[in-house]
Amino acid sequence: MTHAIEAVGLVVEHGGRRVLDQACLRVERGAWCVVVGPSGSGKTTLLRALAGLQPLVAGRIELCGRLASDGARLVLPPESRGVGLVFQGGGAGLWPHLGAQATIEFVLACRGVPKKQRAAAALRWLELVELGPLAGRKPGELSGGEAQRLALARALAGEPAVLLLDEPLGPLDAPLRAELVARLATLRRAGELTLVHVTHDPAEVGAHGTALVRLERGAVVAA
Amino acid sequence: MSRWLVLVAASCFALVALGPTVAMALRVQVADLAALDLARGAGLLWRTAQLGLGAATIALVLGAPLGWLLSRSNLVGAQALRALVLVPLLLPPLVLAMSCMGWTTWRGGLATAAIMGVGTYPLVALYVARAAERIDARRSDAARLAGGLAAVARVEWALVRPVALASAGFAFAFAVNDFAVVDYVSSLGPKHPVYADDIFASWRSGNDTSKAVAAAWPLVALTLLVVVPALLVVRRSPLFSFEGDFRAPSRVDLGAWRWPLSLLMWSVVAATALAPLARLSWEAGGGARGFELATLGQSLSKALANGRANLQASLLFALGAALFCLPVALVLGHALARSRRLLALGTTLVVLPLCVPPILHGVGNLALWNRPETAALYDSGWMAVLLQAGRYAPLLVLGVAAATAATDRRIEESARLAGAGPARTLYGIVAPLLASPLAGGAMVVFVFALRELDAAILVPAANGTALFRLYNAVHFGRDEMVAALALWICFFVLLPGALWSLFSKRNMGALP
Amino acid sequence: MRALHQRLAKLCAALGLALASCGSDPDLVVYCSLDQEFAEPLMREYQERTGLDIRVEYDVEANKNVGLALRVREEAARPRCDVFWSNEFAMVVALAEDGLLEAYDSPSAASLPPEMKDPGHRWHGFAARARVYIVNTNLVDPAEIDSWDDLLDPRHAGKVAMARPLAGTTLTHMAALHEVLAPGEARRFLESVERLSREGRLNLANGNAHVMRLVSEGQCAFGWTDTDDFHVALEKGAPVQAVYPDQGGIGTMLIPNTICIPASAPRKDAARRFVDWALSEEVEARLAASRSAQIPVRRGVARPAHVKGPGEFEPMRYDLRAVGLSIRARAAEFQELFLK
Repeated sequence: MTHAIEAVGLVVEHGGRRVLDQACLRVERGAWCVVVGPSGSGKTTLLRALAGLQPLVAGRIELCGRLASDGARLVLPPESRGVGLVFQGGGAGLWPHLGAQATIEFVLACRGVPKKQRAAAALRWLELVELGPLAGRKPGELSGGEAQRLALARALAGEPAVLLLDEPLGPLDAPLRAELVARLATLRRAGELTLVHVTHDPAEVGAHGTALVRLERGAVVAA
Repeated sequence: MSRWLVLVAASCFALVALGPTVAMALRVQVADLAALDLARGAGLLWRTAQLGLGAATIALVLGAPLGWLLSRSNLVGAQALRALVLVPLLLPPLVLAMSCMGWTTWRGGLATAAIMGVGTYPLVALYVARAAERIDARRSDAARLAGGLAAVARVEWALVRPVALASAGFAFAFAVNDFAVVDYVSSLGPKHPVYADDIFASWRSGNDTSKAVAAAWPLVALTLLVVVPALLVVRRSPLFSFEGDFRAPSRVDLGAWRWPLSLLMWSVVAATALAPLARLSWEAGGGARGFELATLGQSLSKALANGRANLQASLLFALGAALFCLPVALVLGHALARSRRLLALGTTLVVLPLCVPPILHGVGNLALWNRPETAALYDSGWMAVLLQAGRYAPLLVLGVAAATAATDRRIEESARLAGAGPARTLYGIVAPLLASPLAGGAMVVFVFALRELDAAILVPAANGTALFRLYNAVHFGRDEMVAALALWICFFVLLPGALWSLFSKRNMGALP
Repeated sequence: MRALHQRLAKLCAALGLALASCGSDPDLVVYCSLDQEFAEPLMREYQERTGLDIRVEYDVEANKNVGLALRVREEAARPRCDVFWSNEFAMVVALAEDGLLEAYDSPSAASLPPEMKDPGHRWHGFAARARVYIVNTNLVDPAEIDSWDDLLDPRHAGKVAMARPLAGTTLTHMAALHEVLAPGEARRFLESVERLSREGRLNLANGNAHVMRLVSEGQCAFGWTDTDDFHVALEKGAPVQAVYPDQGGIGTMLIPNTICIPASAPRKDAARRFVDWALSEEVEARLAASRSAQIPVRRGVARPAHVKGPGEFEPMRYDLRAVGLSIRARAAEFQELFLK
């Protein structure tokens, strides 16, 4: 069986400094891989490299058996990798000119969902993160927690094979955090969703985590 | 960003904006460069730089405090002032000089520096206002807790200083490239020759243009040396994501100083923005022979009747140029902002058409497009559009680049991950996000194209414009009709900005 | 959103059509550096008389006639211009010497004085302006002024003006002085002008029209200008008088309009008919009667009383071709002197 993620010898540099240094990561399909490490260890960079947003200096990435990056060559562009990403920070990267429902509809349009079906489908995704009543609101009109849930719904609406989460639960209160973790676990089991979850607190994933990876100075020191 | 999109946009830009300059540069021969009188040129250049420094200093002294007060204080009528302050920048510099000379007998180099400073201080004010708005509230609050308003002023000045100095650099660039104002202002008293005079004289007196092109390079180099670093400073200064963890600063209560400062700032803006328009209105209404409202009305309707076709042509060409620039600038400005490696080189290439004397841009267009293969284009109104777009597209490209640089990259990345390709991301996410800077930048192109004359005089298709008619008419003195036509041009130049101020709640955000 | 896109698309399409229709194919293209204000009525009349669709392209004052001459040169590979009507002669002489003009011996040119005609018939001069002093009679007695070097008179320090001799008729005038005065005399004059300007004792205006305004408004007592500018001041009621200098000496300089047909003009027949009309006595009379008060070069052409005619003053005798050919070198020389 092929792995969801097979990354070997990843090297990323910023201004001459190595942020990832021969990092390797192998994640099985349907796994919930928790990535931990001190600040500046390269966790976010690792996720961005997997998503195709961060050019590599060297290394090789395969996603679900398909070659995605080969050294500096981007074989698959980000939109063709089947990857979703929830950025760090309260709703960072949300589209300020689109309301919550329009945001999800945009994603569905990109996936080729017929126009007539988009509104209902978008609402279903919003319901999933309990944002149904706020479908018309724009990111600026949402609280930090609501914005983060919208970011999660947006990532899920793309129905990715791999969902990359960069400290996604920080802005949420404890009950909501538990609720969302439970839903992610359900989605993972139902659809063979693979999760790579960067966090400072592995406990927030609880017993759902299937693998733990530790990054230090850009290299994976324990998996 | 798709390489193909960037390639297409860059090709369009290269052809329209850089092509004429390249066509002219290819004509320069070694002999022309060798024939340059370097000692005389250096003297002229130094004198020109002095004029530029004077203008930049005045622009800084007037613009920096005004900019801060407009954006960060409870100055009375700040919103209206912010719109009005654009007027001196948008008025043709010679019109400003003419009206200033109507009020004072002061002449010479210093007077020229003062007028150029007055014409460009809005740039400093607008840049400082934007920079001051981007200071995180917590930085100011911390300063206030530490040492009151004085500490706030010190901290904030340190933060906006690079932008203030860079925008004064733009004022410098404007001043050193002008020769009409200095020629006009030093008509009485000692003459104040400048380097741009030399380029224009080389061009006017000769039968070929290569000498003029050779003579132009020191000034082009000086302008680039100031403008490119200034643009990079502006780009690298307080950048943050509006959607990130930013807390907008609150307005400072000026207390007892509110009314005196408001009065002072209103006086400055009124003297520089309203006085020229008042002067023109006075002249159109009869002037020294006795002002009458009825005369003003008659002059305006007569000028409109006589110049209707010219005004229509001006508006058509300017609108065409603005629309042509939009897609090119969106792609190129975005690519420029997101590129790390090519930032300095890209900025230099983009800004080059603005630093080349307009007359050379005009001749370059002639050399480039007047050939059998492009005859239909050359003879149509599209030629005027290409001419104006080539000259002013950099303003829009740089405006889009600046706006892109201030937006969160993750917004686009999310779209890519959601499955949107580069074109869809650009059209569906980036363009709506940059709607204000795009519209504002297009407006800037429209306005500058509307008041363009120097490059347009050489291209037949662009000869029917209102400014063309005005300059021909003004030759024999300024009567009611000339003043009325000038007022109509000012009206159309100022109209888009006025409509924006009245009906849009957003800032234009079109600054490069 | 979609409606907005549709509107934008419609706007672009309409704009495209409007821009494309800007360039229709005329029957005759005239490049004209005679001021638009004076030329427009004449052109309109010719158009009505002949029924031809004429496109006239004007130059702006700031260009001092060079813009159109440059275009004739630049467009030689794909010509558009059929007739070039210049309000000067220097640039036309240069075009002729470079082989860019067509010879045409117009029947209307038969009555022109020989010095106004190119021996090869490539250009013809007509309807001239004189280089005169415009004098503010409230500030100085015109009788005190009579010579080309009166600007240097210390009695008038600070109250005299001329345009910088870097372009236009002032450049041509100074180049002609170099031809007619003793060697070195004109150079010494210009060196004095430059020194006095630096000392604030002589004002260098940004054109002849500006000199006219400075004198009309009383900011200067007198200065060099052209007769067309002078007549505008007179018409506006300014207290001014024109002095035709050097009567009995080198004479007053006349600068004629010139007309020519580019060698590659696409519509030569129409061009020749236009030149015949432009060189007619009728047009010269019209120009004399216009606001620009151009001086006829032929005797017997009707003119208003305020416009002097041949024989009423002593014109400067100079070779138009020689001055035209020297212009570039002189311009470079003056540039070095005045721009430093």
